[in-house]
Amino acid sequence: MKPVLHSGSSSNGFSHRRVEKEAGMNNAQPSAGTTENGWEAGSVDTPSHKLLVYFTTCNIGHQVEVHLKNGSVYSGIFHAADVEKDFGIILKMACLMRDSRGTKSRSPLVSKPPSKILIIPADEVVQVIAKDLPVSSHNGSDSVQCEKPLELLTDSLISQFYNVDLERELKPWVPDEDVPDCSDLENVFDDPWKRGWNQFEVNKSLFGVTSTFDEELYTTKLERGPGTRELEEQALRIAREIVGENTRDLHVAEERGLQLSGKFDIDEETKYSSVCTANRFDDTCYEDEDEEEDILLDCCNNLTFGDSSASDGKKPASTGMVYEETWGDSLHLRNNKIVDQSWSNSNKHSHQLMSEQPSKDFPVAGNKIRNESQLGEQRKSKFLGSSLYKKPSEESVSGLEDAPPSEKPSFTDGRVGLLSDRAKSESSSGWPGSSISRNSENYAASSASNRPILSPSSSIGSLSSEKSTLNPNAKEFKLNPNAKSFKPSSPSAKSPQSPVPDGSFYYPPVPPMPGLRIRYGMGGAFPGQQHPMMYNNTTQLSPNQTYYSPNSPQYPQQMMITQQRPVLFMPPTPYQPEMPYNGRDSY
Amino acid sequence: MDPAGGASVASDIGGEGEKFAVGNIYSVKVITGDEFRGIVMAYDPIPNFVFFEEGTKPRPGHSKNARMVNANFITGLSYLGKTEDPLDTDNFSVDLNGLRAKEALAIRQAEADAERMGVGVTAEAQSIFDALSKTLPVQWENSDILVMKEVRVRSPYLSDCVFGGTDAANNRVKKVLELERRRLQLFGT
Repeated sequence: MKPVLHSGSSSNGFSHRRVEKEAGMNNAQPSAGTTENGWEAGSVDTPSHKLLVYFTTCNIGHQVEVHLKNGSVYSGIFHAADVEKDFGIILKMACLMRDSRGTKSRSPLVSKPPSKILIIPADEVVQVIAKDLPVSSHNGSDSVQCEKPLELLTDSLISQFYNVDLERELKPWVPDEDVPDCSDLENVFDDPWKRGWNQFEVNKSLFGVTSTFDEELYTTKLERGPGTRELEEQALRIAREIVGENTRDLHVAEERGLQLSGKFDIDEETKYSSVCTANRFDDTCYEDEDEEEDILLDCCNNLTFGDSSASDGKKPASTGMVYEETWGDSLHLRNNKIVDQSWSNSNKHSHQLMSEQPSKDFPVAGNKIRNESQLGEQRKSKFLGSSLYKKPSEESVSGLEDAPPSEKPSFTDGRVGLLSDRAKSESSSGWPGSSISRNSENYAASSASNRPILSPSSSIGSLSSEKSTLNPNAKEFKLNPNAKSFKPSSPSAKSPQSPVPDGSFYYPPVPPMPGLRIRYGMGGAFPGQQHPMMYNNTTQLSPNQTYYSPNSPQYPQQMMITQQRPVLFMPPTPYQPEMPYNGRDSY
Repeated sequence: MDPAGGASVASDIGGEGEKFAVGNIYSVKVITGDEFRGIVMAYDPIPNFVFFEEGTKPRPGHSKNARMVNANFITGLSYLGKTEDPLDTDNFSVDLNGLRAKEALAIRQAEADAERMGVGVTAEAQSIFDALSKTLPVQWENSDILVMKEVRVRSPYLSDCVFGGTDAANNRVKKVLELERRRLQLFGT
C-alpha cells in the first residue's frame, strides 16, 4: 500500500508521519514511503500488536468518527493509522460533525467543505468509532461484503432522501367524543348474523326499497324448529372435524396450520405459484389433484354423512373393517388407489356397510334428506333400491362391524342418494352450506360408534350392476321409480352449474379400466391444468356435474367425458383460468 | 511514546497486559465524557490503543461497532467480566485489494456528496437544494442554486428569487420551488 504522504488540511497544522497498515501477520513488506524511522518490521511484532494491526486494517475504507480531545468530532473515511508509533489517524473526505463548542448537527456542518485529507495527530485522538465494522476472520469474502451494499440499493438510497426522519409522530386514533358509539359496527369481523345490522331494513328506511330476497330461493331450506340447536351442534362438530382433518394439499394444510411438507425450503414461489413446474406436472399434479378431489369428496361425504366417518376413523373402536380405515383415511385419502381399494373393499362389504348406517345419523332424515335426495334421486335409481335393501340386512352383516347394530336408520331415498353421492361422484349440485349443515345434522347425531355409511354404498349400487367380484350376498338392485331419468347433456365443458342439477345422475356401466380414474378439474395442485377425465367403474359422473365445495370459488367444470371412453384431456395451454382451486384464492 | 501523560489516568504499566487482555469486558469512560461498554479485541501498549467491540456479548463473525480508544484518555474503567475469546478463529487475513476498492468507492461517494453540499449555506437552503435535486439537475454555485445550468435561485430561495433561463424553465423552477417549500414546511416542523 502506498502511503499517503501529501498533506491536506490538518487539524492543527502540522503533518504527521504515518505509515500505511500492512495486512496480516506479514510485516515484512516495507511500505513505500515509510517514515523517517522506516518501517521496523517485526520490531514490535507481538501477537497483541498484530491483532491491533489487523483490526485497524479492517477499518480502511470505512466511515469512521474520530473524537478529538477538544470535543470535536470528525467523520470521514478511514485511510491510515500509524500503528507503529502513536496511532495518528488519516481520514479522507472528513467533515466536522461536531465542533469543540459542542454544537451538534445530524449532518455535517456546512460551514466548510469536507477535507480531502485530514491528518489527526495521535495525542488528539481520544477514540475512533466505526459502526458495523466487518471484522470477520474470513476476510477473503470481503469482496463479497463490499459488493453486497452495491446490490442492496434501497429507494431511499437512490433518491438520496435525506429527510427520512422528518415524520410526524404518530398518535393512535381516538374517535371524537360526540360521535355516537356505533357498537354495532365494531364487530365487523363477527358473523354477519350476530351484528344486529339488517341491511334490508336500512335500505327500506333510507331509500324505500323493499327487498324481495328470499334466502330459500338460493339455497335449501333450513329447518328451524325444536331440533335446530341439535342440528347446529352437529354442523359445528362436522365443521370442526373437517377443519381438523389431515390433508395433503399444501394450501389447505396451510390454512389449517398443519406443517405439511418436510422440506422447509420450499419458497413462496413454489408454494403459491399457479405455474405448474415440469416435475410437478407428471406425478404430483395428478396425485395432488387426486388428493384434492379425494379431499373434496371426503369433505362432501363427511358433510353429508356426518362426521361419523371422520370421527370413526379416529376411533380404534371403529370397526375393523377395512373400509372403515380406508374411509377414515379417505378423509386423508391421498391417491385414488386407496380409494379404489376402499371401493373394492366396500364393494365386498357393501351390504354390511350399508347396514352400518347409524340410525341416529338420520334422525331427521326424512325431509331433510329429501333435499339431498334431489341429488340422490339423480343417482342411479338402483342405488336407492339397493340401499333400501341394505337396511334390513343389518343383522345379517357378519363380523365386519363391531359397531352395535344401529337402530333402524331412517333410510330414505335421500340418504341413499347421499350414500351414492359419496361415491366419488360429485353430486353435481353444489352443496349449499345450509343444506350441508343440515345433512350433518342428519348424520352428526350419530353416536361415536356409528359406522359411517361410506361410499361403498354407491359402489354397492354400481357393483350390483356388475357381476364379477361383487359381493354375492348383496341385495339385488331394485329400481326406484322415483328416480329421475338421466339425460346426458352434451359435454359442454364450461357450462356453469346451477345448484341443483337438472339431469339425473347416470351411472354408465363402464367396464373397469385399470389405472384410470375419474378426476375432477378441481385443479388444486394442478393449477391451470385440466384434469383428465377418466372413468372409474365405481364412480359416476355426469358430464356437467360439478362438485361445489361450499367454500371454494365456483368454477365451471372442465369435464369432457364420453360414455364409454375415458378421455384424457391435456390442455394445450398451461393456464386455465377457470380451474377451480381448492384452498386457493380465486384468481 | 509517552504512556502516562498528565491527562492519562488509567494506564497502569504494571498489569497492562492483563488489564486489557483480549476478552475482558469493561465499562469505559473517556475524557470527552463518552461512555460505553465493550469487549477488548486487541490492545497494544506501544501506541497504547485498545480496540473494543461495543457491547457486552461477543458476536464473532458479525460486524461490530468498533472503537479504538486511546488508553491515555480513558478516565474511567470498570471491569465487568470476561468472555472467552471473541474471535472465532485465528485465521486473520485481510483482503487489501478489497479494502482499497472499498475505500475508493467510499471516496467517490463522499466526493459526490460533497458536490451536493453547499458551502456556507443554511440548512434550509441545503434542504431546498436536496428537494430540488430529486427532480431537477441542480448544482451549487457559491450560495446560489443553479438549476439546469440556466436558472439561478438566489438566497433566500423564495419564488421571487428565481432568475434566468427561458420563461418555461423559469416558471417550472418557481413552481417546483414553491411546492417543495410547502412540503418542507409540512414535514419540517
